[in-house]
Amino acid sequence: MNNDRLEALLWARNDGTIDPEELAELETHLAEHQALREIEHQITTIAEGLDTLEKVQPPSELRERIDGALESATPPIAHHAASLLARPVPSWQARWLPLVASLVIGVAIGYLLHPGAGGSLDQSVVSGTMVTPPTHLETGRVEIVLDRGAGSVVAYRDRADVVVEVVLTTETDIGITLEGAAGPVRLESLVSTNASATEIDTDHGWVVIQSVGPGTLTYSAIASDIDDPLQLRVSSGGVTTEERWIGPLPDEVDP
Amino acid sequence: MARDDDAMLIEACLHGDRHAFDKLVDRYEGPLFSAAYRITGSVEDAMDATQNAFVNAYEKLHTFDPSYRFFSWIYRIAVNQSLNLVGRRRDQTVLEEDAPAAAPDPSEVFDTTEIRGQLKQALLELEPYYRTVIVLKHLEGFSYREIGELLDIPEKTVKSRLFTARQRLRVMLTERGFAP
Repeated sequence: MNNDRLEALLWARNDGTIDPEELAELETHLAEHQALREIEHQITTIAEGLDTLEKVQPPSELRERIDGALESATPPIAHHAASLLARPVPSWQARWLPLVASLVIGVAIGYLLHPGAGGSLDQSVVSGTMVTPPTHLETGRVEIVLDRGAGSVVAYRDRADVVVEVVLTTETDIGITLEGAAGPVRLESLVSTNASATEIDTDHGWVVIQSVGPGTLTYSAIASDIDDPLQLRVSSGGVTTEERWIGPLPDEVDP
Repeated sequence: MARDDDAMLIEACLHGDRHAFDKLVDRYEGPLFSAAYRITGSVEDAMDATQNAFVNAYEKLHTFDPSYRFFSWIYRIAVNQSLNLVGRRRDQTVLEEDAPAAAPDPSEVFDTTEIRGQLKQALLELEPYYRTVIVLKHLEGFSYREIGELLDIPEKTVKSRLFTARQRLRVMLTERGFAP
C-alpha cells in the first residue's frame, strides 16, 4: 500500500465511507507499519479541527445591505409571464402558425414586388436607425401604457429571450419595433393574436409588428446575444410615441 | 418542513409578495455568509457574495425549479459568487487572518485553538477550488453527491479534488511543524 492509498483509506474511515474489506486492509497495514501511525494521527487531528471550525456570524450591516439591494432589484417575472415564456404552442396554434407564416411571406413578397402598394408597413416604423443604449437599462420587464387608455405593451426578457404582450382596448393602430443595439433580433413565434390587420416585418434585422385593435397580440423574439440591449419602440399613426430599453436579467454564474 | 415552507414563500413571492422573500433571507443569510467567508477569506467579499446571491436569486426566482431544494439553489449561487470574487481579486488578496511568523513550537500545536488558527490559515492558502470542497465537506457537512450538485462537477471529481485538498492541507501543516 503506498502513502496515497493509505491516506485515502484513512480519510474514508474518518468520513464513514470505508467498506469492511478496506477497513481490514487498513488496520492490518497500520499494525504492520507503526511508523505510519504518524500520518493517521495527523489526519485524525486535521479532521477533528476542520469539523469543529466555528460558523461565522454575518455582521449586522449585511442584512441592511441585502434589504437595500432587494428594494432596488427587478422583481421576478410573475407566474403569468413565466408561464408565457414556457408555454408550448397549443395544437390549434401549431396548425394556424404556418398560415400566418405564409401570409407574412406573401406580404413580404408582395411588398418586394410592389413596394408602393397599399398595405405595406409604415416606412417611418420600418426604417430603423442605429440605436445607442443608455447607460442604465431596465431589466426583466418593461411596460408601456398607451395614451388615452388604448391598452399596453409589456415586454419580458430573460437572457436573450423576449416575450411581448400587447393589449389594445380601442380601435388603435400600433407599430411595435424590437431592435438590438449590436445585432439582429429574430422573431421566434407569434404566440397568439386576435387583433386585426397584423403585419410582421423581420427583414431588416429587427422585428416590426403592426396591428389594429381592439384585441391582443403575443409574440416571442430572440436577441442576437444575451448581453445585447434591446430597444422597444411603440408608434401610432407612424409616429413613435415611446422608446424604452430592456437589458438581460443579471446572469447566474456557472462554476 | 423547511422545504415546504420555502416553496410557499417562493410561491407568495412570485405572486408579488416581495416580503415573502425576506423570510428566505432570514433563514439563509447566516449559512450563506459563513460559507462565503470561508471561501473568500474576507468579510467584505463574503458580504458582497451573500448580497449578490440573494439579489440574483430574487430576480431569477421564476427560473427556480421547485423540484429542487431552494437552499441548494441559492447556496450554489453564493458559492459561485464567492469563487468569482476570489478569482477577480486573486492578485490583490489580503489574507485577513494573520499568518504565523514562524513555525510554531511543536509542543503547542495540539492546543485546540492553535490547531484551528493554523487550519484557518492553511485553508486560506489553498487554491480556491480545493478550499471550496473542504468548506462544503467539513464546515457545511454536505455529502459528495451534494457537493457535486452544488459545484456542477461529477461525484468522482469531488472525491479526487477533496483528496488532493486534504493532502495539501496536511503537507502544509506538516511543513509548519504540525507533527506529533
